[in-house]
Amino acid sequence: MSDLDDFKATYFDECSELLNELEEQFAAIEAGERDADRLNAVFRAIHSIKGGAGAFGFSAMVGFAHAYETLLDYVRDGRVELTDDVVVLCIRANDIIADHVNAAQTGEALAADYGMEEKNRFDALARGDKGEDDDVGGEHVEEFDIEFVPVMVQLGSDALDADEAAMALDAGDDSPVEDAFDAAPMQIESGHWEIKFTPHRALYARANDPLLLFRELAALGEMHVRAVIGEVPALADFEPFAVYCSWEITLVSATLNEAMIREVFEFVDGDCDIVVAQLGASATLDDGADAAIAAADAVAPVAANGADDLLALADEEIADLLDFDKEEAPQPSLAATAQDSFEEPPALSFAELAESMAPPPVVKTPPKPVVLAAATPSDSEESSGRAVGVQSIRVDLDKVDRVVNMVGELVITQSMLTQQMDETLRVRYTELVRGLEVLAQTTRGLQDSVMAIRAQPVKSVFSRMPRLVRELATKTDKKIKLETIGENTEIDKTVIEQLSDPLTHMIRNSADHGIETPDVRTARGKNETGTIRLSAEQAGGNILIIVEDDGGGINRERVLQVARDKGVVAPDANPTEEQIDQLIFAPGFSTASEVSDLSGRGVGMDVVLSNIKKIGGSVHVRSWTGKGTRMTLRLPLTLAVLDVMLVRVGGSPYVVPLSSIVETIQCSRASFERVPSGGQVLQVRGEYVQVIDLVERFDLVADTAQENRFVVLCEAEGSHKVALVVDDIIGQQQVVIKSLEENFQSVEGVAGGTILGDGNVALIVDVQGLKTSIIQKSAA
Amino acid sequence: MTALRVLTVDDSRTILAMLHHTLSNAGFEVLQAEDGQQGLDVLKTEAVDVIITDINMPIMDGIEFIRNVRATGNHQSLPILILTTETSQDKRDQGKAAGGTGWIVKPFDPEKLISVIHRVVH
Repeated sequence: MSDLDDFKATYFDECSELLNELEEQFAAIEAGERDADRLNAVFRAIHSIKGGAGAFGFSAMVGFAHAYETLLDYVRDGRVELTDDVVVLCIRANDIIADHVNAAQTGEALAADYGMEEKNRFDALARGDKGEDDDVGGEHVEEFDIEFVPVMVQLGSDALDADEAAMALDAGDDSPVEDAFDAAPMQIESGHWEIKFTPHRALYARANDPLLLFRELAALGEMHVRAVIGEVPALADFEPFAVYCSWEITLVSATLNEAMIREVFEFVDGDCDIVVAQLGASATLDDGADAAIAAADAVAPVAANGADDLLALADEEIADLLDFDKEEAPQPSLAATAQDSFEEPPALSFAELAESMAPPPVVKTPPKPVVLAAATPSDSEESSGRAVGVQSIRVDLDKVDRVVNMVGELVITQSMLTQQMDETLRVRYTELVRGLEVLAQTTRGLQDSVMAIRAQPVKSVFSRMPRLVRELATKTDKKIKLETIGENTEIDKTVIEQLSDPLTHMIRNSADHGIETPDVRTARGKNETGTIRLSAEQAGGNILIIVEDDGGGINRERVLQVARDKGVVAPDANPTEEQIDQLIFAPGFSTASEVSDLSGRGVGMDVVLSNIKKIGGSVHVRSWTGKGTRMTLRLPLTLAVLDVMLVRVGGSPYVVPLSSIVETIQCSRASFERVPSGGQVLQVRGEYVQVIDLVERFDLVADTAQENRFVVLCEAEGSHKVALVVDDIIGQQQVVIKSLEENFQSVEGVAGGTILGDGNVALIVDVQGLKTSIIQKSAA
Repeated sequence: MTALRVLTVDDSRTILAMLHHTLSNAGFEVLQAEDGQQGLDVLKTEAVDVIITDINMPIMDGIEFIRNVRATGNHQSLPILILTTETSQDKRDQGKAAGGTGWIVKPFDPEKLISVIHRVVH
């Protein structure tokens, strides 16, 4: 059923948000913030998860969530103390809930006793303060907690004797006949029922309306209603919102039982007194009703007396009263019922009652007009009720992606148009030029806005990390604290989704290999608690995510040794310290001790690198022996559009990501100096920079032998500059990235391709890739 | 006859979506709010025939919401149904005390939901 599937999709969506919320809340709770707001938020989250689970019949989840929720409720009101143990149990329970959600989503079955241990602990904790009889089974228990004890009188098949009935009912009124009630069968073949319904004054305060109850009772069988109006005061004392009547109802039906009648009065339970009694099946209606009425209470004389007072008023005065009160919203059914009963004191069938009430104005004044009066349509600026209070909408990511792609194409078309405007055209069509400028601006604005839709704070990923660090600390017997900085930095959602795994792995790595055990740290004169700092910041067109620890740093000797053993590095190569650090990301590098319980799982850091590369990012590691390690993820703000510098190399256009460009320089060939290793360097303001001539690198033929060369100075990871030598610099623009891997194959030194405004294809230069390949060459 | 308007107030999108589905299929016009405050805001400009509200909500919970509805405007006779999964009667009783008309126990059965609404609406 597709509707149900839709709801489930919504539900699972919501669950993942709620589980994230739980993570966040418990991170704070762990940090000592145990205020009521947090507990309430946790309670609500579990409650919502449970609610949905109930709706879809995930009963195992409901059972578990219920025990958890019950405990939370007790913690909230102080019956159970929120000790560290309880917090740990709750965090474990969050995992179990997550597993339940996951199982429900994938259709996998969890073990029947999954989470049973925790559930039992919840139950035990809850019981600890509330005794054994606490209902934690998730079953809803109906309770009738009214002042009048229900009386079920089972009478014989003989005609009812009025005196007997009186005695029976009297007894019922004064002393509960519980045995009779218990013994009475709930399903009775046929019967006449007598109900005495005496609302308390405040019945209307909750918008309960006797008329509606009668309507419902009428649906159960043939009904006769009689209003008892003895309590109705003089007009001067009449309060429109108080109830003065009580009613006696006779109901005849073959398939009626007391529970069905009770159910009708379910909502007014506590706001009224109800006596339900069954009369003998063979008793005639009149006999039974009369007997019961006579027996239950001598209401008739009182009613008559009360009615006299009101009847003394002229009919038109009543009409005036009702008209007048209409604005103050009197309870129409009360007035109507009362009025009708004045005219027709004997029992009135519901059909007649309803019919007679239909035409008068009072009946046409149900609560609705009152509500309408409360609304002030002139004030209403929102025309649709659904729009009110809605501050966000949920849109399928696919739809946003389509817009993003189209905007990307629009940007390119716009830049193509701009390119087509040569000088002669510019002079001739000034208006067109102006129009194009506006178009360029609008397009840029549109693009920014669209990208903002997909942007999300990295918080959603960061918030999962405190928990991870805590677990790692426990498992490794280390003391680790996590600091997070810049968690509100926003990145494209598609990037964020890819971020969780690499980040988890990097933090594992830091906790497992970076941070030392407390005694080692103490011996080294460090604080015995290690720190892992997780930060996010925007740097130009990139987001930098940095995982930094104050541990022992990378053991370079061992790393190099392992790399050599595994053939990652040639035995005679002599890499620099930094090159050694980078080796931990090299494919196939995974030290034996690296495969530990934590960081292990058979995945090396090379997976981190490939994951990050997949989203157009890069990883750089820097380590200081004895002081710590810093791993920097450089991620694009967006995956869709790239700001680039367009250059020409060997007659073809290439683009260099603007984010990596530091500056452009023009210089003569003579400025390049050969170094013994065979490479070239360029001195830029006293600093030697490695030169990569793209003509050579890509095996092209320079289209000119000109002496002057253009150099694009780029910054690769780790602040290492690279001088890319190109034939010409054309300009800056934005391009939509097209994957080479998807359309062709991966090419070293090329990050992708793009289609330029004039229809030409240009390759995107992978600065970091070029630099790395040179390192590997020189290392080899 | 114009459709009855129901204001549904719940912080769970799942529940809101299911209510919306069930109610609009049954011919009701459905308004939505995600917490009590939003619910009150809706009532400032919209007339409704019945309110269905959750109890556990952020910002303003259902109890306070009901209390506020009863205390403002001419909402004394507006039926308010409490959505509850509470097994203990505490919440239900609190909701009643605040002015709730009746309740619906989650998970609700669509037919039952509709019949309960008809029990409290003219």
